[in-house]
Amino acid sequence: MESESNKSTEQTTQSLQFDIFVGCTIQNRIPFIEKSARFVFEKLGIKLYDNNEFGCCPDPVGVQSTNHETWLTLGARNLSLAEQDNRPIVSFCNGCSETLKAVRHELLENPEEKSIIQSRLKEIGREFNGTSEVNHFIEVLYEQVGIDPIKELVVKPLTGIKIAVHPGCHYSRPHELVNTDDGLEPIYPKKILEALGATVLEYQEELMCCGSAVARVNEDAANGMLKRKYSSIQEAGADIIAVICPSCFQQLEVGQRAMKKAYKMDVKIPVLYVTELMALAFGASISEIGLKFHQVKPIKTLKAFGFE
Amino acid sequence: MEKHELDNPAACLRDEFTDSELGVSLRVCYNCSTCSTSCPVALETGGKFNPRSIIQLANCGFEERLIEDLSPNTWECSMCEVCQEVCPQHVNLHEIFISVKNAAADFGNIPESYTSETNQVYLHGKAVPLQPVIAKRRAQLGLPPSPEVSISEIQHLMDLTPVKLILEHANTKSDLSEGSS
Ligand code: SF4
Ligand code: SF4
Repeated sequence: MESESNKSTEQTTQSLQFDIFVGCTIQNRIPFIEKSARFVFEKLGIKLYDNNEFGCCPDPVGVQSTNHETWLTLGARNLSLAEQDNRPIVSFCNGCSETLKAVRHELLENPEEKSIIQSRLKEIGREFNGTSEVNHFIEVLYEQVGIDPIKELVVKPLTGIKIAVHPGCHYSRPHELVNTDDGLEPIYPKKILEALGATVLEYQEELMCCGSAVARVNEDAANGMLKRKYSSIQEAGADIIAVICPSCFQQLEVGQRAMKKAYKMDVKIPVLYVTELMALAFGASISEIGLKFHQVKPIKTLKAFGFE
Repeated sequence: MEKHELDNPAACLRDEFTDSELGVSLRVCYNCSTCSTSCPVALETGGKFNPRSIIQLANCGFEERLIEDLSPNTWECSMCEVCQEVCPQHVNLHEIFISVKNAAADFGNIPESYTSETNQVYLHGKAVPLQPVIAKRRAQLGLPPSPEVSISEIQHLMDLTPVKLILEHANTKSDLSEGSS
């Protein structure tokens, strides 16, 4: 029975291959996320190739707000690298996938800008044509792999775990640019977690931004946003917050301490990446995927649900 | 994509808002405030920051106020992109705000966290450079080493854009970036 279901998973996904765009934050700050991502994709039989020349995406908040042209030019360089490999990109970060999708979209829509960028890339011996598609990993899982092959790989279902999903803003917005899921009510991450056996909660402030950008200039506003978010998540009774973006991950972990300082509010809810939850459901151990490196320790919660 | 004139960013921004597709998008705003009602930062600041007022000021030629006085301060936008999604007139708030922030940066009004991040990209090709402790952790986890990119390529490309001027210009100003929040 098991070998039969594994076979059908392979048949669906064996042709899928991507350049993996890990992104600066995951790569150089929270690499355990990358571990879970590679684990899950390998289980699914999806081939990931490393292109060691990828630079910063660059950040759609930090670099784009500083100078749009710089953002466009460096983004096009990354796209040109994937084109050279003749492969689509899969990104494990809301920010990277937004940047790479938006840069590609802008250059394909605007021949004048494209030719300026092309001549710049030529100076470093590279070429952009826009042939490599960009995917957020959630898109790959939901649209290209599909729910059934994911279900078939579950050996330790997340039964009984109540999860509040925080999809994050740049995953589905601006919708015109990233063109996936629903702009204001994204459902793919929820469907994936349900396929793992988890109980996905509805909560009031699901759309509320994690505030990582506003935290750079207005800490009070960022704290206020987080307070609303956590209160609503606590009210819903979540055991775990699930995220799909490294910026949200960090903000929602660090923010728990900020709540104590700003409002004497106790928040202690582990934040897990969707790939981490998938890896656990696919049989990874807690230590194998480095869950001890989380700032808000998830181990007690996970052990209570039978994970080792 | 015209050449930047760092010496008169307000005038450049005004041109952009007058003569481009973005300008057209700006002018269809009918002031309904749907954007501001959905904005989380407007909620937290009691409306002191709100997207409608930025659109309105941009529409009425108050570029100096937006980029020189930072009043309201567009850097406070959290880039959640909800306003863009709910606007009944499909005003391109996303791009308009990027243009306002870019012009503010040209003027030297850019928060330190932005210049330092962009500077990291210039120096290392990554916004988050690798630290020895993470290199060790990656090995522990059985991950491939974090690759180093060709800095010369990144710097060559960045030097073809006005970013270096912006970084230098910002450094000469005192940190008024966070002043008006
Ligand atoms: S929602 Fe759109 S039309 Fe209404 S005030 Fe905001 S920008 Fe203008
Ligand atoms: S993108 Fe900025 S202005 Fe628009 S709703 Fe979000 S925080 Fe408010």
